Amino acid sequence: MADGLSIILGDPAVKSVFVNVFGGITACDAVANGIVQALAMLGDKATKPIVVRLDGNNVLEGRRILNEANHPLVQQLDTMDGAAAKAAELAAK
Amino acid sequence: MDLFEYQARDLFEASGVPVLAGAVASTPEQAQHAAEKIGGKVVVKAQVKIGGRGKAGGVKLAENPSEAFEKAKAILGMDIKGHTVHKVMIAGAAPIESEYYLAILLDRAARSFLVMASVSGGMDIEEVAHKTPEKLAKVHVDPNEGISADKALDIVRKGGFPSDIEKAVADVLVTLWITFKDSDATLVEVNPLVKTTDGRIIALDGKVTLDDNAAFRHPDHEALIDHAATNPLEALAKEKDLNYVKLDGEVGVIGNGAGLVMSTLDVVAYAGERFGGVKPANFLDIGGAHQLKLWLMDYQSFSAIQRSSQYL
Amino acid sequence: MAIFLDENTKVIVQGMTGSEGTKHTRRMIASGTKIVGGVTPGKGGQVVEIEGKSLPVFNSVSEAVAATGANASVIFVPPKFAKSAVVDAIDAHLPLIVVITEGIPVHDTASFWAHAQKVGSSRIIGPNCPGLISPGKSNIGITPSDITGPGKIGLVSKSGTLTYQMMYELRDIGFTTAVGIGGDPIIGTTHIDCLKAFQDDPDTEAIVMIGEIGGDAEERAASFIKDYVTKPVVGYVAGFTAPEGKTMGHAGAIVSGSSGTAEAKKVALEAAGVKVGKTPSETANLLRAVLNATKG
Repeated sequence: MADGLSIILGDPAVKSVFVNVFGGITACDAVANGIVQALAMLGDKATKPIVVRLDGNNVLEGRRILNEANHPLVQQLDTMDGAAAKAAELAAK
Repeated sequence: MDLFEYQARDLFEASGVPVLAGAVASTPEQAQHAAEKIGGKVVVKAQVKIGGRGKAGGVKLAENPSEAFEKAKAILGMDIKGHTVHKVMIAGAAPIESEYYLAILLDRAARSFLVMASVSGGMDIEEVAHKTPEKLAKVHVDPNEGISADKALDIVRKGGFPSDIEKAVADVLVTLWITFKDSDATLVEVNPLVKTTDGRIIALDGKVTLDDNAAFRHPDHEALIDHAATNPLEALAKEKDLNYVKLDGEVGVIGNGAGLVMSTLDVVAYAGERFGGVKPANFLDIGGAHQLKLWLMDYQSFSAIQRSSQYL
Repeated sequence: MAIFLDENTKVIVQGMTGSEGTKHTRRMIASGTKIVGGVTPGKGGQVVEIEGKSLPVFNSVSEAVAATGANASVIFVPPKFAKSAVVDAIDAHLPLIVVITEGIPVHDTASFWAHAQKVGSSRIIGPNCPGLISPGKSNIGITPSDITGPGKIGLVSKSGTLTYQMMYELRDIGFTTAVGIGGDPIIGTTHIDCLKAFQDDPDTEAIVMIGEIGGDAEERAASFIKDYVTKPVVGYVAGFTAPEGKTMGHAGAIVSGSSGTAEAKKVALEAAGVKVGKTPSETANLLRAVLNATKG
């Protein structure tokens, strides 16, 4: 997650990021932890808004981790459609 | 992975498929040198992984080495349908009497392999298949049985090849099968396979696609990767064992599972229509079980990315 | 009823003693699957404790079948050894073989598929697939079992997570069976095989078919639907925005020239009377609409 996120955040064309995960083997808490870790390591270098939509395996724990981290760049939405619209809106700004 | 023509030629030569002399060159000087070595007239051919290079001016005949220098100079750096020419192949020239077609490929629908053979070579085979399907023999091959000499002869006859060259073409087909199998290819195509005026059968141009899933038993395939054409972000992701494809939009997309990520790209593009045509910037599947370990990345690998991302 | 898999299916796990195999054996047992043993060549005779069950390990599938009466196998062995594992299962005449392994060379798949046709007693699902689940009955593979319960929809899809997403969208209705057939260029069980089985299954009332770019499996499925399927079918195709020549994760997911595009697949499906959604949520709504219409 952290590797992936840093590659995407490093792409100058990217204006916003949409993380869309349906937890199966890859559980939502692992995804949430990956996002939090990546942002902690990137520090000031992370400047792009990240929209996250989690469902499936360990979704409650995943959402809790992100809520608790309360990172200013991260916002969570409940549905794939809603989150895609938010990410598109943020990229258009 | 699709191979360049010169790589296909090298593979054919190594496997015993008859080919003309050929060498790859990245500079006019190298081209001239190659032409001197080959001797006589040569053909300078742009190396791009897309059709239609002849029409675009990417294939030129050179009478002598200094002409090969000039032609290579003109072709190198050309843009052919969005592909920049970084290399040319210098190939021997042969007097052609007839052009044929021969290919072995994966047939998804039949869940098997398929041989296609035709005496109408040299042109777009899809057109032959469409307009004159009777001129294209299609024969399935049992993956566990392969192509024996008898089976090859049978296919060649079905393809309508003249009887005086049946045996020679069948030999080429058997060798192509061995190449196909031993290199874990999903396509080996010879177009055209030619008969020269002095009666030789030669594979003049070839296309080969190799199965990336089989890379573990072909350490030599690594050297065939075209690093010049790989997007730097894609190269970086590949190093990290991430499934990433660069696209031309603005919304970075990360998801798990190829299908869900493809679907996410679509949903972002639809949503983007309402915001001035915003599009997805990439495909990134952080996927299944074996990638999970990448998430638990250590600081070291992260700093490696940071360092190699300096140019961004 | 369900297709291919029910509560009586006895399953062995090939590669059970590996880390992936052990992890997923635990998950399958927890979701009610009757796991009766495992196969790892060279480790026969061992007994492994997983999820409170003592599971015997055998050297070969035929030994495992003789000792346990297994009638299905799920394969979690690495790509290098996958072909010999599948051939072992084929030679033991197992009726159902589910190949989860990702990254098997297509020459290996072509080879074991041809062998399976010759032997003639096995259905192969996959490779590179999430497996199949008949909610409330059994679950072979890696599909999360708690997304939804039994119901009246049959689902067939190339993709794993997209299957989960669609099950989640329709969790209020539930499923007879959801089959992930895998995204490789050669797969054992196709959309058509599943459509036929769902058509013949009395408990399945409507079918969701999920496709993706690459090949022409969806087009062939469309013509099959036209001729054979009378139950309502709703479709979804992923990859409308995929560029030509780029492989999107699955080895089979690539648009080359004019073939394999999502648009072509959508057109073919619609011509066969299949309603096709633009997004997973729209597809779920289409399915609800056809179910309501059948009721009325």
